[in-house]
Amino acid sequence: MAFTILVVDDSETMRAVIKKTVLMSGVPIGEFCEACNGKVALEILEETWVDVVLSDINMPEMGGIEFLQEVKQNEVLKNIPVIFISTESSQSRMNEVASLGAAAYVKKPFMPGQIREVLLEVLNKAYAKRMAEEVAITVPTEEGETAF
Amino acid sequence: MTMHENEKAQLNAAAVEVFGTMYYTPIELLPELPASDSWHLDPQYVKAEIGYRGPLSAVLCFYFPRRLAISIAGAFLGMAEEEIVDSQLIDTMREAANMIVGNFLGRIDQAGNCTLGIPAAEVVAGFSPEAGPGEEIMAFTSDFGLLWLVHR
Repeated sequence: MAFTILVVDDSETMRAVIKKTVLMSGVPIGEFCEACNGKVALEILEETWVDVVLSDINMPEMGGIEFLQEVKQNEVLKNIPVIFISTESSQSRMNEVASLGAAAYVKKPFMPGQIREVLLEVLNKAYAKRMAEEVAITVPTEEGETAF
Repeated sequence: MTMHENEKAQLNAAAVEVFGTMYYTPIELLPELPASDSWHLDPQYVKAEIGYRGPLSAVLCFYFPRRLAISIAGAFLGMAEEEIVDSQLIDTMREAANMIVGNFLGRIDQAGNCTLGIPAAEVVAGFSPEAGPGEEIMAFTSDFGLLWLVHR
């Protein structure tokens, strides 16, 4: 089983770094999609099945909060987990995105291990049943191989 | 508008965290601006500007020496320095400014009442560290020259 991941960030270099971090995490990736803001991300979601979204908050045209609200109001898209990766680190902003239904929040700057940890946790939670039916995902760790 | 000492300390902590975590590059805010004969200004800088507004408001404009920008873009993107083009320098420094000020804002505005703006960046020829009306200039040390910051 391989996952399709959508990265939403107005910084092309940040998208490249997140992509590299995810690819190094050991999570099996089938396809990697990219969008420079929430509006473009919604257009991609209309045409492509995505398993998880990693999104910035502070973006031009349509930011991450508005994007999440659009996703949650859409019957087809509402169960796709959205993980925020953002510089906005106040507790109130984290509470706000949690109440809107974000799956997780990673604060920039981040360590690669944080992305991996959160991504695995969210994917496990969202796709536990589906994953249980498939071959277990093996992820390399410092101690050896861990099956999820 | 001048920054309070606590704000400067929080800004330094934010910049040190971003540079240490994302770019593996140590920097440190100088307690005072160096004397003008030791400025060692670079011929090119990447200027990255971002503001925030709300109960607290300010605009922070970073001047990254090109050699510092190339070094951290290379570390960030995992690329050889000679392969890096200006658009990547600009994008990486824009994101650096975004992360530093976003981190700083999270420290001084825990209630989240302020709104962070969208950063902008460009390559500029030279920089003159002379504060205009309502401006305060700070400098960070790095292994690749002084990183200047104009606060207004």
